[in-house]
Order: sequence, then structure tokens, then C-alpha cells
Amino acid sequence: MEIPIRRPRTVQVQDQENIYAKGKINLALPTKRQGLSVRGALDELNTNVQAQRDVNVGKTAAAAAEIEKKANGNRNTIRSNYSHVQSKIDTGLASKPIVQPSSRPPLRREESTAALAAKAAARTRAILKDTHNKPNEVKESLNIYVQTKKTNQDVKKANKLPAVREISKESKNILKPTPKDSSELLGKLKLSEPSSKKKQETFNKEKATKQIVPSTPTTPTLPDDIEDIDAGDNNSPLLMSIYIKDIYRYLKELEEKYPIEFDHLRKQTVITGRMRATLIDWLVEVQRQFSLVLETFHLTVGIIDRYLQAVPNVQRNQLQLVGVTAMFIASKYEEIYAPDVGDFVYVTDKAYSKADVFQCERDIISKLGFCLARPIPLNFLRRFVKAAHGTAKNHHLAKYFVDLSLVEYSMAHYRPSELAASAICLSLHLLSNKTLSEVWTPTLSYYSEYSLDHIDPIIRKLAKIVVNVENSKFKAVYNKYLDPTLAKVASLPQLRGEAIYELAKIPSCS
Amino acid sequence: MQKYEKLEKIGEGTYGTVFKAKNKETHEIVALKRVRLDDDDEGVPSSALREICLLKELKHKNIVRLYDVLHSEKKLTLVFEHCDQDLKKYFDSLNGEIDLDVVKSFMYQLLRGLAFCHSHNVLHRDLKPQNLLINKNGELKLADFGLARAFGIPVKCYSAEVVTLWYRPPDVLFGAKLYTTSIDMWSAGCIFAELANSGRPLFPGSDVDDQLKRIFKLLGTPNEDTWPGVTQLPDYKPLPVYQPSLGLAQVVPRLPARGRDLLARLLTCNPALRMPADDAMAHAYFHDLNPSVKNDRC
Repeated sequence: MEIPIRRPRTVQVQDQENIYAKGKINLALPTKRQGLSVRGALDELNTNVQAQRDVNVGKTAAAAAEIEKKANGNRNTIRSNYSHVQSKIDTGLASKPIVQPSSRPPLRREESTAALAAKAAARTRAILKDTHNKPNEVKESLNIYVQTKKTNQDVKKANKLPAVREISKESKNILKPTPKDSSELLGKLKLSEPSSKKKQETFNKEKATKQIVPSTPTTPTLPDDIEDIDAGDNNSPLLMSIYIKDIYRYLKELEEKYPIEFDHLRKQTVITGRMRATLIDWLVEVQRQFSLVLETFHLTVGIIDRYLQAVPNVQRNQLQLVGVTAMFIASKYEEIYAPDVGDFVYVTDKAYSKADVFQCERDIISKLGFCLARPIPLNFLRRFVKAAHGTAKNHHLAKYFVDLSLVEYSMAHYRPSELAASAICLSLHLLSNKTLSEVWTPTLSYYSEYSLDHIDPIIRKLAKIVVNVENSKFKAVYNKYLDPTLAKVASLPQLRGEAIYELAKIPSCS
Repeated sequence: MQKYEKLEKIGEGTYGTVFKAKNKETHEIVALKRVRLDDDDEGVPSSALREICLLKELKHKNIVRLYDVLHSEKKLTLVFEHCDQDLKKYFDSLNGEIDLDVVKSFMYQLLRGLAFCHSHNVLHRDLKPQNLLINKNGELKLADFGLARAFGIPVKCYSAEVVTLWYRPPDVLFGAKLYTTSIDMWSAGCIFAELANSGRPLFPGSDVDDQLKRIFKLLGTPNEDTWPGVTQLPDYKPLPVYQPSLGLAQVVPRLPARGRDLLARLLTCNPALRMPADDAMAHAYFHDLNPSVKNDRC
């Protein structure tokens, strides 16, 4: 059975992650992927599955460079064209005419927040009247972090000295809107301490109990060797610095609330871990073809696992339906413009009808109790990359590791935050000459809430998966990360180097 | 559906009809939001999906409680706690001016509900009086999460087609797709002024241009100095340069000085400078808030 994939469309691919990028990111993007052919067979989920992808990489478009320049070097706006996506039938049983490009408007890829967040941070700096920075440093988000952090730490220090406090308060007040007319000036009226103070606060469930006007700034609660990674984000609303600690605390609660157990398919009579891998591997292809955001893919896997954990005895011929329906649901939750149900029916080669998908949707949603709030690894990965001052390459490589682990059944029971922590740790280790314990700094340990001992076995399992991927039948993730938009991290020499083999050979102790 | 007896139609939500109904066993009064599922359609609408998923996790005194969801082939029914009226109807029922203590109480509850949403990574994106429910005890609850969504960090790009025009912030009016919790804070500011004026909308624009002009006539037209980056927004267009001539004192005459200060901080064109809900709750305007409102937690 062939799984045809249609919907060629123009996709705006932007580097979403370069907020953590250090220095210049080299993105050699193809302007066109031509003759992209996918032959994926989910042949009743137990026979051979091969997914092959030929990517004819075009040249970096001069046009793209132009756009980049225009956007102040801040956006890596490069248009990538999925054209001539054709599906072929290789079963020999039936032949299907080539599907013409649909007239449906292209899906909009969620835009580069990173670049815009960097801009926002730059604006913040401008507002802070930090005139010393050269404009081209806006590109280097990392610098922004470092520099604003320094400023902030200075402010903190200054706060200890009563004499200087007023000055620093004044500088903070620049952040606040000035009243529009003098009658609005309220001499005595002091606002509560600005957000920098809040960042120091530990999680406080009862917001309502907060003091109305805190009179003294609270002292930082972070231990000495822990860096306040949000310190530079004052007033960068895209980074949500005011709520960030609350939000991550909440995400941790949620992942505990919705666990995937070890060997969660044990109650299944037919479905095996290998079938699950086949399904997820194929869904990686679907994600790419529909240009869905990575969040959607991660959410899809979470939905599938929670469903298979809750519903025993799913039949073999229903598994693919569960998979596409999970992705259909995840798209509606996550995407601005979700593909329509017909698209999902189509990619199954019409093995199921729209009515089947709707019925399966009802079933999944009710079995999950309408709860889709289980966090995804990507939520945590972004946080940890930031704590690590990771580069864009670090981030892409860590995403590659996470995606690989999502295909692997033996990794399914790890919490999203554990996968994210292990992935970034391995990524940092491989792209540097440092040992695991050197890269896993107290800061990373603090923000991830995992010690190196805790994630060590997961890292080793990951390493094993990575070195085995080329011999694996499940190559969709590998192929995906050969793409220049993802810095071709799957082909990095470090993934065939001594360090990773060293980690992979030692049997995991978990 | 046998469990509930429909009493009357209350109104239309973003994507469904709302009825007042009675639980036949417990006689509890509830609100039912009914969504039709057509075969040619897309299954569960994404707005309903998001509303249900988000409200399942958002349990707070100032957020409408979703009791149950009934899902059949043809329809989806959301069972909500019933509130007596929405803020719009409350305004309509006012005889004369609103009590300023009520303004303060409602505003505080609105901010508390919002702070809860924002710290649980949810944006409401459609705040307006019709979506704020009021019950007999003077409690205010955020409702209609049909346009709400969970956000990631850093915040990604979302649809610019959000928020009812009158409550839409200038950045979104200029086509910004990258917004965050500040989007809700602008709406909260508009609602604050509307509360203080006993239900007279602050910026009742007729279209995007008119909306922007009304805003800038009051607050002054922003420029690169007051709002760095404004000219780079996708739909930015140069508008007449208005000076902030009118003081807020003339616009919300009944609001005391502290209230006007809070209002100015919410109605800040530059989203980066707009005050977050947490900070707003700690504003001196709420110093003398009735302790029973302040301590009334979920």
C-alpha cells in the first residue's frame, strides 16, 4: 500500500530558533526542492516500510540573501518551494494519477519569533538608552542576553546600595509609560516593583496574597552558582519573563499529570512497538509534506501514546487511522490553518473515509478526556537551550535527537522534559570538546531540575539510537534533518565520531 | 441530552448557541453551549477543541467553569456553570451611574482571571463585556475561550484575526502577528474605561482605520520614538499625527487619579510597555479594594 502525499505548497521556512543562536547562522536553504518523492508504505503496518526521500538541494538563493538584508539581517526569510511533490504507487496493484497542486492557499508557517524576539530585545535596549551597541549586534541574540543580563546584574548590585537605588529605579521607570499629561502625574504613587523583582520570586500560587506595593526588593533566591537566565529579558514580552517561572512550573505539573508508562503498549494484543515506530516514522513525512510546525508533530505523538495506553486491543488496520486522526486533532489545536480532513484522508490513500476520521476523532478526544495540555519536549527544549546559551546548531541537533527518540518505543515513557534535557546535553557534548559533566552546568541542572546522573542513561540510549539510525528502517527523521533548513545536523561528522560511539557502547543501566 | 432540560436561549457564542438549562436530577441551572457537527465540516471545530482543552485545565474562580462535555455524532454540547448575565447586559440594566466600588471589584477580578490564564500560558484573545459573566454575588468570570490558545515561549506567530475591533490593540490593528499576553491587557484597559463610564465603549470604531484614529486621538499617534518598530509592522500606515490632547481625566471623569494612572498603563500603544496583569493587580488603585474581593480566592 502506498501512501501518497499531496499538497505541494509554497512554504515560508524561517529559522524559528535562532533566538538562541550565537553569531551568524549559516543557512544554506534550497529555493526549491524539486522532484521530492516520498515512497512510504505503511503496508498493513507489519511489512516492509521504506521511506525514501530524494532532496535535490538547490542553491542558496541570492534573493534570499536580499530578503535577509532587507530584514536587517534579522530574519532568515527564505522561501522554500515544495513543488512537483508527486506520489508514486509502488505496489503495482493500482496506479494513481499524479495529483495536481491543490488550489488551497498555502499553509502559513508560524513565523520566526526568534528574530522578532531579538528585535524586541533590541528595542528594549534602545529604550534603556543603551546607545553603545552596534546595530549589527541585533543579529546576535546571544549577545543581547549576555549584555542585558550584565546590565541587569549591575542594577541588582546597585540595589544593594540605598544611594544608588533611586538612580536604578529611575532607569527602570524609563520602561514605564510616562503619563500623557501632567495632571496624570501622581507624585506619591509608586507602582509595584517592576518585573525584575518578580523574577526573583519563587513560584507563588496565591497571587492574590501578594503584597500590594512591595516596599523592599526581595533578594534573589537563586544560589550563587546559578545564573538567572531570564535576567536579560526585562520587558521583552515575547519571552514572557514575568510569567516564565510560573509557566514552567505548570508545565512540569502537567507532564506529571499525564504520564506515559513504561511499556505502555503491553495491554495491546496486536500493536507492537515496531508498528508504533512505523506509524510515527510515516507521520514525520506527513508533517513535512503539510509543512506542519514541529509542535504539531510532538503533540501528535503524545496523543497517539496516550490513546494507545488508554485503549487496549487496537486493531492493526486501525492504527494508521489513529495516527492521522491524532495529527488532524493536533493540527486543529496548534496550527493557524490546519489542513482539512480531506488531506488526511488522502495521505492514507483513502484507506479510511472522512466519516472514519470523525468517528476516530470523537473516540480519541473522549478517551483523552479532551485534555491536550500534556506538554511537548519542544516546550522544555527551548528553555534548556536558553539556559545552556546553546547555538542554533545545538538546538537543531537537540531537536533531531528528540524527534529520533519519539519514534523509538523504548523512549516513549520518558517525560518530555527528560527527553529535552538529555537531547540538549548530548548536543552540547558532541559539539564541544567538553565532557558531559562539563556541559551539564549547575545552571542547566537547576532549570531542568535533573542531575546528570538522572539523565545519563537516557543520553546513552539516545546515543545508541543516533549511531544506529543509518541501519534503521525508520529514516524519516534522519532524512528530515538532512535538510539545510535544519542545518543538515543529521550528517554532522560528530554523529559518527568517537565521543558518541563511546557513549553508545556502554549498555544503558536503566 | 436527557440529563438537561432546556429553558431558554441565552445567546450565540463564537461558534455555538448557548441555552440556559436545568439538570433534571439535581435541578442545578447550567448553561449549555451547543455546537453542530456537520458531515461536510471539519469535525470538532478548532475553536471548540481549544476552548474545551484550555478550560479543562483552567480552574479558577474568575474563569467560567466547564462542568462537562457531551459529544455525539451530530453535536457537541459544553456544559458550563450558569451566570446570571454578562457585563454588557449588566451595563444595559444599570439605572444611572455605576458604583465605583463595583468598577474596582470587577476590574480586579478581571485582572485576576487574566493573570491566571497568562501564568498558565493561555491567551484569551477576545476579551469584551459580552464575554465577561457576572453572577448575583458580584463575581466576574472570563468566558468564551473560542479564540483562546496556548502559547509557547518564545511566543510564536499567531493569527492576526483576533479580538473584536473595539478591543483590539494598535499593534494587532497594524497587523502584528507576534503578540503575547499584552494583547489581552489592551482589551482589559478598554473594558476598564467602559466600566468607569457605565458601559459607554471607549473606542467604538467602525473599521480598522477609524479604530486607529480614535485610539491615537486620545493617546497620540505613535512614532519610532515612542514605539520603536511600529513603522515596520505589516499593515502599518502613516496616520494623521495627533497630539495626546485630551487628558484621561476628561475621558473617564469619574475615575480617581490612581485609576487613571492604571488605565494609562494598560492603554499603552507599545505592547512592550503595556502593564501585565500581575503588576496591574498590585497597582495602588486597588489599595483600598474591599478585602472580601481581594481575599476571595479560588
